[in-house]
Amino acid sequence: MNNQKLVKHTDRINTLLARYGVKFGIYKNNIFKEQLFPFDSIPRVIDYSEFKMLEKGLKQRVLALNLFLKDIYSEKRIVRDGVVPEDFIYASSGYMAECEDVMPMKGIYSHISGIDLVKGKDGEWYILEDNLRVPSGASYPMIARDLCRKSSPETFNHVRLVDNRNYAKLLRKTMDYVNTGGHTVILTPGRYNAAYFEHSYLAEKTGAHLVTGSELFVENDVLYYISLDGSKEKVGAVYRRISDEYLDPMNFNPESLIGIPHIYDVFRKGNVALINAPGNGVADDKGIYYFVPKMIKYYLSEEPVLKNAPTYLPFYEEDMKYVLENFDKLVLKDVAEAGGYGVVFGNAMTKKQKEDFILLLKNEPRRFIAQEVIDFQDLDILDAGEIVPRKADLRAFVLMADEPYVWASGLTRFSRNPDSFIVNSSQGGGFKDTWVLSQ
Amino acid sequence: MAFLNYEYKMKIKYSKPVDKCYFTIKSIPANDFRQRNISYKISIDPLVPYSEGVDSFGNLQIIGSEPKSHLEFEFIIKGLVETYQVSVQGGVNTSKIGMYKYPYGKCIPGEKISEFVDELSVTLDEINDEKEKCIFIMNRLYERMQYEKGSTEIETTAEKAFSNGKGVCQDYAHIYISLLRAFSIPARYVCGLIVGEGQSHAWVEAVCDGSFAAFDPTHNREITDEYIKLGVGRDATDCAINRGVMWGGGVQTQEIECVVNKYY
Repeated sequence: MNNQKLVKHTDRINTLLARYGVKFGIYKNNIFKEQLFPFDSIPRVIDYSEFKMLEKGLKQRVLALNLFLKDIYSEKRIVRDGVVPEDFIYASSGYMAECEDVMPMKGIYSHISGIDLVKGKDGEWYILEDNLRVPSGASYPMIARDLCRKSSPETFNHVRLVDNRNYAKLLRKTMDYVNTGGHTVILTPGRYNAAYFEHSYLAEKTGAHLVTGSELFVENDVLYYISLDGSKEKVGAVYRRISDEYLDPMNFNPESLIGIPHIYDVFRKGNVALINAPGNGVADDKGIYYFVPKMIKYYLSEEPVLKNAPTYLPFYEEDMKYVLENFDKLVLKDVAEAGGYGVVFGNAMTKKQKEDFILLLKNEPRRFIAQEVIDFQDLDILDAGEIVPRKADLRAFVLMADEPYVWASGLTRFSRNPDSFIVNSSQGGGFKDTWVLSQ
Repeated sequence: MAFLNYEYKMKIKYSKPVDKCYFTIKSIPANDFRQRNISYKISIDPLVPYSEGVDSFGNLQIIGSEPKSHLEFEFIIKGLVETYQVSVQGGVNTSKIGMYKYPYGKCIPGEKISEFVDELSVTLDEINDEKEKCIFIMNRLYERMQYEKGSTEIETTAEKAFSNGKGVCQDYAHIYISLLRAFSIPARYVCGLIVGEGQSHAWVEAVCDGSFAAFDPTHNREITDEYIKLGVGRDATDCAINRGVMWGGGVQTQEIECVVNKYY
């Protein structure tokens, strides 16, 4: 791989990223701290045939997840047919009864899906989780590619690479596809949100208005945007980067100050598109994850192309038995937590911790899943001038318009800690560009 | 069968002007096996545009906003409903009752309710008929609770009210729901009106043998044709008659007047 030149530019690119404000905000001990999202210039490279396989599997998965959401908020055939136990629907914190019988524009629930995968040492890809609410991260490889090309143009003369700078165009197409007539806006909670850089960057690149809740209002079942000159303009699509519960104080959390009263009622009447649709949390729940391969068979009558990490549900007696017998080699995840929180490794617990955990597990079996620890491949990263191996995952982005489209890039995140498997940026990890070779 | 003529009036006064407000009002009786909405008329002061719709629980709702400054807000609905005395009401859509089976919101049982569940389960195991089970639970709850106006607030949970042994119709309904769900009987909260004067009322619908039966735990009886259903939900919040968001307003006081008359 001819990227030595690019590697030399690492510091320069990081300086540029800092200048552009590519930051990640995190709350630690209740204090908001912005930190840089460290970029490593050695790309993850995915060859063409491997990408074609991933593409097929990801499209299939996102199609099935969308069908699942449509089914859950209407007839619930998959529950009636005994494929998914109803406990896993109604006990999920992501299930929202307020979304029953509300059909989003063109039946699409997850317009932008962020699917996290890892490549095992066995060379197989495994899906780690689905993110169907407000997955973030596409902007980082977008801007990194851009800066790399500027810093080291010669590197790109030697590789046949799929250009990833089409993301904005794809996103725009995805938003326009469901637009009900009117402006397209990106709704941000504001400057202090962890992903504010991304919100502003995507708005600039797609030509959408970047707005906060106070710039939008509902009147007579229509959503309006207050333009700079004070006039009101109809909004047809909202790419909202606010979570469901804060979106509308009249329908969800009444305490929300960043939401827009009645926006969900406008959506209910089909007068605006919300991207992604509210209620998606029921499909990317860690407990529901177990059932995704079954969903693919159920809705599409196809065999899943991509595998889940081997997962056990202590909810099932047989699985509970396995989990207790193999506790030390499993990773246990609290289904209600996200961002790398609530993840514990069986072998990392003290005897006391283990006993307490097993007690909790027996009391609340629905709350946890257990997975085999996948020994995933290391990627090279540059650490203080030296190349060292680190754990990394890949967030692939799938956009859904008339058909699913897999972006030929993605966010590769890595752990900077040599002993850690947790790569989440909220836990201090860094990122890489993801190259998909064009042949 | 009866004809019920009703008027529900809600007036909110603010100590300081409200700059703007948004409201959702769920007070229009929807048709079902037990009632038929014959006619109704709504008036809102200040005069603002509003629209009607249906929420995800099947409740009819009025949504609107007042973008101008105001010190008072008044809502009145008058109407006529035909009601039927039926023991059960059929047509349960099985895909829509799951949400009423699990602990939720103000009906999540705590220690005290769970203890009571254990206590009841001894006898309840011997009752086979689902409706009889509901009645048994209602009787026992009625013995345990004391009706006392002002003893609880809108936000009081079932567990809190049960621990204190006192409450109003909302609390009786919440506790009853959490008990029924603990025995795997799907149950939902009903907000409505009953013949007489005063306030809105609350009761419970429970799925018995595939149909909804309706119980009034505050009065320890099944409901009659003297009840008008306005809304249903997992707990009181889902079908609150009035939900609003406002900017400004200072201290607010709310007056509610409600009259229901029965004609044969």
